[in-house]
Amino acid sequence: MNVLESIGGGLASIWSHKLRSALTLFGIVVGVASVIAMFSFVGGISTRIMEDFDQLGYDNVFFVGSRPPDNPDGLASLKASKGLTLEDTEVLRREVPEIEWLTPAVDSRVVGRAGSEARHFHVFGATPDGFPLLKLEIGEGRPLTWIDVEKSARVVVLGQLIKEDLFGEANAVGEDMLIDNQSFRIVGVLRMKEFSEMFGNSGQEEDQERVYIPVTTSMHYLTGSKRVDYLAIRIRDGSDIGAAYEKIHTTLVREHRQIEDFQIENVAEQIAEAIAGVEQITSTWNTILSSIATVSLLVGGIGLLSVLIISVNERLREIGIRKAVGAEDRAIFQQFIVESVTISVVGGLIGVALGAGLCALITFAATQMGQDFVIPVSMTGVALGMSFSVAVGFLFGLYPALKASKLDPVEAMSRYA
Amino acid sequence: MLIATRDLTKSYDLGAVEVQALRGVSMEISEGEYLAIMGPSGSGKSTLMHILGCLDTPSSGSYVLDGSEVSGLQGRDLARVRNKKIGFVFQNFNLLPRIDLVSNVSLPLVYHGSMGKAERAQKASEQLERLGLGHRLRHKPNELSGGERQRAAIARALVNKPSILLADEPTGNLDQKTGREIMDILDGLHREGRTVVIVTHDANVADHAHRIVRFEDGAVAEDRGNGGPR
Repeated sequence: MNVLESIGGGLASIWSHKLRSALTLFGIVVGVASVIAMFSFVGGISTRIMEDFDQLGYDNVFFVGSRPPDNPDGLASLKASKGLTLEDTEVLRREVPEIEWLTPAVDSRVVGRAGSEARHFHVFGATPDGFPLLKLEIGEGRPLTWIDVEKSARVVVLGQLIKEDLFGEANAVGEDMLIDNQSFRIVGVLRMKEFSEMFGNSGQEEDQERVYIPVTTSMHYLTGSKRVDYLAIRIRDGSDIGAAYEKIHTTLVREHRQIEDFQIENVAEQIAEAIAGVEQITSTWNTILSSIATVSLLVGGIGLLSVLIISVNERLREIGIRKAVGAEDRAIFQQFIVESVTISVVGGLIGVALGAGLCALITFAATQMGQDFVIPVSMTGVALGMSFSVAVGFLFGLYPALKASKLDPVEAMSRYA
Repeated sequence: MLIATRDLTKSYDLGAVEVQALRGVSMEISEGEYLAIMGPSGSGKSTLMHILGCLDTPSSGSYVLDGSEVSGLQGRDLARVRNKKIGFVFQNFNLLPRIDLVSNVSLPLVYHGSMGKAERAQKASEQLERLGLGHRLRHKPNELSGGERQRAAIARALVNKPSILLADEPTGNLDQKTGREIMDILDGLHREGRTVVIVTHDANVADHAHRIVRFEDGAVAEDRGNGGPR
């Protein structure tokens, strides 16, 4: 008898003892459903948090800022080093291969005017790299270009909140505006990022409450200085944060003639730690939940075991007859083990459906309460639940199947069952 | 010679006492013989039938079936001999209650090897039709009369084309008329050239056979020819 026929036999056996099968399946169904629901819930929350971190744009980011050197003859050293300059960006780009994006930043506080509206805001003088670096997306128009930087062009990209303050719903791209009384052409407007309820919008207010112009334009028209306020650096995903930090530090110290007139804010490390914290919590929860689920699956397994023992005892005569017409021990073993695994897999499948239903229910309930909270069905949970149910079916079917296969045919046939 | 046994013994260890069910049975059965084994209960006739049918193994002695020694075989090898060479008919039919007649009769073919389901059903149906159950193929055993059940059991015993048909009290659970019908079938199978061995304590049943072996106390007490079916 091939395995497919054995599975058919298993299904027939489940069908012919509906109540008993339902009771047996119950433990496995609940076990698998809870594994999936719990994994999906924890997974959904942690994925959402991770996405927020990613949106935030500060992962893998360093900020290098200026500060007074802390050696005693301060004045002399200030003369010896020029502070942070555009040359630093060139050197870093050349010597630190981990760097993916790098922009110098000049920050100025200005008064901006468009038509009759006016307000204070910060101007972020940067290069085109600044946009991908901070994961800023353009909603309308275009970002800054290298040609803008080269020509110190008076072009500006507005944060969404600035655009709303100055133009309301009206179109801004292509319009002119005044920044500290100098005329700038608006070439683009940022798009607002979408954060989850948990994070809120606090992460991007700063980005959207300022405008972006070429760094050279900032130096030429606003500050009149060759110095930059800070460097923003994004290293490639997956590179060693500590090693990159060291390289950046070493390179800058050398370029600044051993004078440490800068400090590196290792945001990458902080974000990495926060992510590791979330991962830690997720994995702790998954461990706790897996343990609970394991217990419930074991309980289901014991139910299965007792039903199978009953089933073998009820079918002693059948086993005897099968053996009398030539069934080998192996065939009987196969019949019962397949039946056991079939029952538990059917339970597992119902459990998957139930678990997926629970996820949908949570999502639905959250939506009803006005929360943007989607729980995707965890594939890990499904895989774990299903492999658990197969394992339970096999493990707890082993003893009854072995018992059945070892029966003596004459003795088994003589039982009235 | 189809069957040759020499000094077969079988003892059961029941803790305190050892029961000698067979005490040295030597007998030969030729191909095409129609044999009845008789004896009171406890005489060892059932034990002998289980050993001849490879359901059980002797404690000592030799059993050559169809040219090969089977007394030393175990588990899987014994199962194969049962499957290929033996057809059993039992007193209480021993059909599986939850499956239909075709599936019941197919059962030996299921364990025969790689025969597909359709081919098995085909062979089982042919065998059932030959025994006059063509109109009952998809019925379950409990939907049939006792005689029909026993005919189905005979179909199952024959489906693998066994060397020998072993019938243990084949009419024991049937009324006289139905019993006669079953014996007619066995007589017919003998006439077709099959080797038929019946275990019975019913003299009328035994009288159908051409040779009667009487058992007493685990040994052959009498082995005589018989006129055969009237």
